[in-house]
Amino acid sequence: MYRYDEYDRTLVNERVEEFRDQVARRISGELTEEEFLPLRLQNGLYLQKHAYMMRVAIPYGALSSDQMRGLAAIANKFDRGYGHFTTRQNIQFNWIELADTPNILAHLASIDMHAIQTSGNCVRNVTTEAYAGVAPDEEYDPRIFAEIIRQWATVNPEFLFLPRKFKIAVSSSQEDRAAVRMHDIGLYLYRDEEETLRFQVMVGGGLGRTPFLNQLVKDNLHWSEVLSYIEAVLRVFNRYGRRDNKYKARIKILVNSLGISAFREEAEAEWQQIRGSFSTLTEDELSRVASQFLSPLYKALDDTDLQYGHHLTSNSEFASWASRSVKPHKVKGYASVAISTKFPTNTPGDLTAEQMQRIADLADLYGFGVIRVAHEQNLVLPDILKQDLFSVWTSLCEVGLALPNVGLVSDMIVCPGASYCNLATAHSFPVARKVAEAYSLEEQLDVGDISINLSGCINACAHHHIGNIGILGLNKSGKDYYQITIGGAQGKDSQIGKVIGPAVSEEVLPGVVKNITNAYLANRNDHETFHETFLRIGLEPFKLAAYGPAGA
Amino acid sequence: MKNIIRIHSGDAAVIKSDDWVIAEDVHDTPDPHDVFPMAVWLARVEQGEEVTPAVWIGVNDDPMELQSVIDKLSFIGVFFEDFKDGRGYSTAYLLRKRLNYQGDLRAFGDVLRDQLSLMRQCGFDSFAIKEGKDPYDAMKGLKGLSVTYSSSVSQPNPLYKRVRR
Ligand code: HEM
Ligand code: SF4
Repeated sequence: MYRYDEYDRTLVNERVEEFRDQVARRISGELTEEEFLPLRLQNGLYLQKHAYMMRVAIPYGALSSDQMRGLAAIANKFDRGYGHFTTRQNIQFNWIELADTPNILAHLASIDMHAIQTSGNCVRNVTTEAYAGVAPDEEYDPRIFAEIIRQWATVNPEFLFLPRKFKIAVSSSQEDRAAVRMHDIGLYLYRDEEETLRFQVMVGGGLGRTPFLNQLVKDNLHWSEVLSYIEAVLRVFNRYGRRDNKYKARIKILVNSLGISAFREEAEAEWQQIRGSFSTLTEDELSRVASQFLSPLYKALDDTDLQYGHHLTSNSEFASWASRSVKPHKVKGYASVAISTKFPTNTPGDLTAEQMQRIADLADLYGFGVIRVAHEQNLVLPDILKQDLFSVWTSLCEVGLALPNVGLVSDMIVCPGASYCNLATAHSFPVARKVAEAYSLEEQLDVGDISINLSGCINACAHHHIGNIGILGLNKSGKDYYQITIGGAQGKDSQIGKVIGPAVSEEVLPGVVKNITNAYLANRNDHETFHETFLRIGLEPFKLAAYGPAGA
Repeated sequence: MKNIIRIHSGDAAVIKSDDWVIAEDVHDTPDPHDVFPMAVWLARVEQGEEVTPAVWIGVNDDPMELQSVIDKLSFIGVFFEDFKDGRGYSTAYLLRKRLNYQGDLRAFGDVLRDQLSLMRQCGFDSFAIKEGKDPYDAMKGLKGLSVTYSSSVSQPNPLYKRVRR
C-alpha cells in the first residue's frame, strides 16, 4: 500500500501548521466565519447540528492496521468513541471541538493520513472499489491511478475554488463496484488489443436535486494523458460552470445545458492546447507509484481448503455468514472478507473504537495488516487465507461484527440524517432500522442481493437514486415522510430510479418496502435479481403492490 | 491602487500605493495610469483611439479576447469579486500560459492572505489586498506549502519531474 515519502509527509505536516494558524486566527476573531469557512471545509471540518464534524480521507479506501488504530484513538480521545464510514471512503467524527482540530490533523499526519479537500468546492477524495488489487475480474489496479490523481489534485492552486464540489472515481474491472457513473468524472481503465492502458472518461454525473449519470466524453485516452484531460475538463468547468445558484453549480448542469457534444468540443479544444506538455505522465512515475501497490507475498496453495470446507458443513451460522461475506480472490487459497457495519447490532457505517481496534488486530493476525473501506459503508479484509476464515469469523462474532447480511435488505446505505446533519429533512438511522427489522434473516436471504439506500434529504448522500429501492426523507408539515424510488442501479448498467407515488409516513414505510420486495418475489423468474425483474416487468406491478395492505 | 504586495525577482514587498487607477469607464480627466475594463479598452483599440497599457478583467470576461492585442499591455488587473469565486485563477493561467503575457498581473478585490500563495502559483505577481486588511500580515500568506505536487504557472514541472522520489 502507498507509504508517504518525505515530500508527502512535508506537505501534510505543513498543511497542519497552516491550519493551526488559521484556527487560531478564527478563534481570535482575526478571520471572519465567512473567510474561515472554505479554509475549514478544505481541511475536512463541517459545522453540524450539535458540534463540528471532521471528515477524514481514506484515499481509495485503503487503510493499514496502524492507521485504523489511529482512527480508533482519535475516536476515543476527541470524539465519543466511534466514527462513521461514508460511501465515499471517508470517515466522519461527529463530536469535535474546533480548538482540537489542529491536533487531530497532526495525529492523522503522524499515521500518513489527512483531511485535505474532503469538503469544499474542490476535487474531493478520489475513490475506487474496496476489492482493488485482489478482485479476480480486475484489469489493472485502480488505486495506482487514484493515487496519481490524488497527488495531482491536492492543493492544485487553480482548482480549489471551483463552482462546486468535484468527485472522481476509477474502476478497472468487469463489474463496476465504485459507482463510477454518478461521479463528476468517472474513469473506466482498460487494456486495448495491444495491452496498452487506456481510459474511458465520463463526465457530468451527480445525484442531489437533479440526478444525472455521467456521459462518455472521451474514449481510448492513453494512460499518460489522463491528468491533462482531467485538467482540461476542470478548466472548462472552472470558467463556465454556474456560480449564481448552488443547486445548479455542479458540472452535471453545465454538461447537460451545453449538451455532451458541445461540452466535449470545449474540453477537447482546451486539451489540445495542453496535451503533451507538463502534465503528461511518464513510465517512471507510473512504475514508481505502481511499486507501492505490489501484492503481498502470497503462499502457493490449492483453491480448496479442507478445514474451511469442514467448518462450512458443520457450522451453519458460519456457513450463512460465509455465503454473504466471503468474496473471491485472484489468488488460490485466499478470499476477501466483507464486514457488515449494519443492523441489527450496528448503525450503518458506524464503528466503535473497540471494533476498529479488533479489525486492525485481525488484519495484522491474518491479513497482511491491510483493511479496505467499501462504498457500501462496510469494511473489507482483502487478503485472508481460506484456512483462517473460521478464526476470523469467531473473532468478529465477539465484537458484533459477524453479521450475515452483506448485500441483503438490512445492508442498507444510510446517511446520518437528522441525527447529526443540519441539512436533513428527516431521520434516517431509526427508520432504516425499522425497515431492517421488518425482515427475518430467512426472508432477507429469500430476497437475496438488493441495494436499499436511504438519504435524509435531497442531497442524496446515501445515493438513493441508484438504489434498487431508494428512500428519500422529506418533511411534510413537521413530520418525517419518505418518498420511494425503484429501479435504480449502480455499476456498468447504472440507472436512476423512478418515484413510485406519494411519500409515506415512518409507520407505514417498512410495510411498503416489504410489499415491494414481495412483488419481486412473486414475479421473479429463476435467479433473476431485483433489477432484472424490474427491467422485465416495469414499474407498474411494484407501484400497485406497494400501497396495498402492509405485508400482504 | 492601495495596499499592495509586489513580488519582484522573488522578493515580496509592501507598497502603500502605486499609480494605477481602476476606472469603471472613460472619464473627463484622462490619466496615463487609468486601468479600464477590458470591454471598454478593447472598444477603444478597435476604434483606433489611444489607450493606456492597462486593463482589468471582470469575473465574466474572457481573457482570450486579449489574444491579438496582448503586446499592447503591461498591466492587467484581475478582479476577485468574491474570494470563493475561483475563475480568476484560470484567467491568470490563461494569460500567462496561453497568451504568454509577461507584464504585471495583479489580483484585486476580495484578495486575502490565505489565498495569496495559490494566486502566486497561478502567475500573479502583485496583490492589492482587500481594504481594511493589513498587507504586512497578508504577506505571510505568500509562502504557502513548500511541497506542491502538480504543475502550475510558477512551477511548470510537477513534483515527480523536479525531484527524485
Ligand atoms: C453529515 C454531514 C454531511 C453533509 C452536511 C453533507 C452535505 C452534502 C451536500 C450538500 C451534498 C449535495 C451536493 C450537491 O449536489 O451539490 C452532498 C452530496 C453527497 N454526500 Fe454528503 N453530506 C454529509 C454527510 C455525508 C455522508 C455521511 C455521506 C456518506 C454516507 C455522504 C456522501 C455524499 C455523496 C456520495 C454525495 C454525492 C451525491 C452527488 O454526487 O450528488 N455525505 N452531501
Ligand atoms: S443526504 Fe442530506 S441529511 Fe443525509 S447526510 Fe446528506 S445532507 Fe445530510
